[in-house]
Amino acid sequence: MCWTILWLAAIEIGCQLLDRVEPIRESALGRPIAAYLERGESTARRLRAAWASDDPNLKAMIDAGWIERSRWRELPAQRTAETPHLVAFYGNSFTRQIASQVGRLDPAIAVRMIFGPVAPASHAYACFLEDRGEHAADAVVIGVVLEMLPGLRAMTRATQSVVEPSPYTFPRYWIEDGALVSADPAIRRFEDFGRALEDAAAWEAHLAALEGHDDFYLAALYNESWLDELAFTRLLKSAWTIRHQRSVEDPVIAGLADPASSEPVAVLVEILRRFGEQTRDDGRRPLILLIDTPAVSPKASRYVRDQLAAQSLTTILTADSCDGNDPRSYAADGHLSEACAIRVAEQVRNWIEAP
Amino acid sequence: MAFNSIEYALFFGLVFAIYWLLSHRSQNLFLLAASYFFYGSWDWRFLSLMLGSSAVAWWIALALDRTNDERVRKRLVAVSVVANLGLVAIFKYFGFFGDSLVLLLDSLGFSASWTLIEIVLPVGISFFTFQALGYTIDVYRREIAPARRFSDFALFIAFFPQLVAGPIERAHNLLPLVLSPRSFSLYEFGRGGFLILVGLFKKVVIADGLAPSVDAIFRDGAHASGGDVWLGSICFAFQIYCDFSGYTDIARGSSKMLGIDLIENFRSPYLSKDPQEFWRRWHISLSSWLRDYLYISLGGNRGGRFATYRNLMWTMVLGGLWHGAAWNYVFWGAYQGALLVGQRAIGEIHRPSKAPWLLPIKIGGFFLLTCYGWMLFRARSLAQCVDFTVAQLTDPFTITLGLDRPPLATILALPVLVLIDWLQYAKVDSCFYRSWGPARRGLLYAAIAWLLVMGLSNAPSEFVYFQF
Repeated sequence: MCWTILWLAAIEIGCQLLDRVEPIRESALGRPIAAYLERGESTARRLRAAWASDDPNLKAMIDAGWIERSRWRELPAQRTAETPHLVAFYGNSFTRQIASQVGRLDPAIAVRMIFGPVAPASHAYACFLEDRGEHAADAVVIGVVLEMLPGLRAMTRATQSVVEPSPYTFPRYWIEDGALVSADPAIRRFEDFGRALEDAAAWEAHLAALEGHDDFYLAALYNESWLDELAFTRLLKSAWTIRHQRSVEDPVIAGLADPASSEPVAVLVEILRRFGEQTRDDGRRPLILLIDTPAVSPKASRYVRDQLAAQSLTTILTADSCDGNDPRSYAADGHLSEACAIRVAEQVRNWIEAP
Repeated sequence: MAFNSIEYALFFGLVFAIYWLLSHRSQNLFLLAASYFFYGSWDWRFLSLMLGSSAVAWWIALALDRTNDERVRKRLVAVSVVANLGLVAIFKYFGFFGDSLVLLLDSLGFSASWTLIEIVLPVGISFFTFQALGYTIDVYRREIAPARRFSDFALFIAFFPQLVAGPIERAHNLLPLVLSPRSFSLYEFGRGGFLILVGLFKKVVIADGLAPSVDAIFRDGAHASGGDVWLGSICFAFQIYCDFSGYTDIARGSSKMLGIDLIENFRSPYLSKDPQEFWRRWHISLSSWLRDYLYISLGGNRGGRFATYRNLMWTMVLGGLWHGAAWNYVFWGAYQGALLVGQRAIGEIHRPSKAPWLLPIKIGGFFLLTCYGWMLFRARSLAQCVDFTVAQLTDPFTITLGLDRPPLATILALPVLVLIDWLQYAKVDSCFYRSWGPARRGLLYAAIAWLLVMGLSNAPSEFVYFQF
């Protein structure tokens, strides 16, 4: 027993050296191990480190996805003679991939793309609302990946991933007495996030909002503690975090087998219905892109389409163009394969160009 | 309540703490209650099934012991066979044979459109019925005396560490341990702890780590190349081994801590050089059960060469079917039977060389044959078996889908697993580490514990053999 403890201590010291000695950390073997060990660090500590770091990857991680008009000023906002169509896209990287293909397929279509990494529909809808008066698009597309439906139960990506906890925030939506209601996060802008890292009261308000409305949030895992100091306890925390995340995600994904009785699906349908209604109020044409991945059954997206059809809303299902269960429909990074993205983009283009 | 869950850790901790405070008689009653609670935590409805199976086997064994009339004894053992296999047939094979009959009638041009009721498969049914059946056959053969007290016999059937996925215990091993008083031993406690540690390491770090990569290959058979299928089959070989032997290790470790030694179920099976050796090392409790109660009952090797081949084939096909109600298990069994027959047939023509340099080649070659068998076992349909076989034979080196890279903990753990298995194989001792000095032993424990903590982040999956 004593020797086991001594060896465990020796491995712990090895991990500490790996964490602190740059050449070891950056070696071919050291880098993946260091990244693996980091996953168990509290989210707050990782975000603080990322904020202070010069690493471009970490900078990109904390900078992405914020819902701020000022960040979108460079995006196309007006129709021109060369681009008689302007289409605004909201969603995540899957939607961005299809939007890029639409722009490539037809240079007459200007694309205004606003997205968040691995963002759920609540983020896309909040972006749409924030961006409503900022452009003259004739059509608006919202992209929804059904696999990311559990994200509707969150307020930030930071509580949902141990690998890349992007801190951008978005409202939490739910249905109360048949109406869609929402709660806003305490931090809504990138600069406010930076300030909150230094301001205890602002940080507490952020945590209180997460505590109240983010099902993924667990104080013991999110906040800094002495458990962050040891690689051994970080690994245990990482396992605990992943199990907690699955305990929130799994029932939502399992519920997609019976979408009619799924609460997140009902919230999604209501969000999309409101999106359609508001887009039409603005005098634009709404389109909903439902993106299927192998993790979920296409049954759910078909159910959502049928619900929206009752509101005369047009939907395009990627499952109609590419088999969601065929690995060849996906690229190595998990996004749609190029051929598949082009097939879906062609459908979107045809819809845009239809009279 | 899976062995790799917090619930089991709490349950076992509580059982362990109370168990050693009790007298022998109370220990047995307490273990029986704990075992029924454990089984009931899966599904309370099927407790009556296990109780019924136990009661029938217990009563028949007593009746067998009371009479010397061979006709009556034969009838009694037939009742036991029909009762136990009937349970398995209804709960496990009803849908399979019903569906197969519908397909057959359809293919012959008859319209068969009846609706088959869906029957839920009770957890562990294949294990506890075989255990009950083996017991009555042993009493019939007068190899053991029957248990007089029902609670002792019920505990032999329901003993929770081995209840849902074996090992399939034999009465001559487990029943005396149940009947005799047990005393706590720190040495056995330590060995049990090590077995649990290794079992969790195999299941959580390796099997659960490989499962997503394997699933990705088998999910979409139509697009996998031969290389993909070979990669998927090799990964599945490690997944199923670590899943099942991991379960067995935890079962044996838990049982050892309670002072009861369960039989060994695996002995470094992938270091086998031929099919016969493989079946002496893989799922030993099932292969020995099939040998003693099926192969020998069919005539064994007493009827000449071709009768032996036939008996081997029947034994392995039925052994395959035991795993599940699907044609791919039948093919897997037939494949294993063909390998055993092939080995015997070749052995009759020429004696294989025992040159030491040939051993790694034999082990490697046979491992690939085993992996092909695992492809048949893991395939989702008959069509996938055919497609994958064609791909493996015609295009073994092309990789199109690639393999999702397993987690780092799994990659680091595989060499440790191979080392442990190799040492067990080379030293012919599953407790090889006991002869090591404390420093070396401590390093082994620490490495396994560290990898286990790393692997706890893997997505947990259910034990593969629970479905059987």
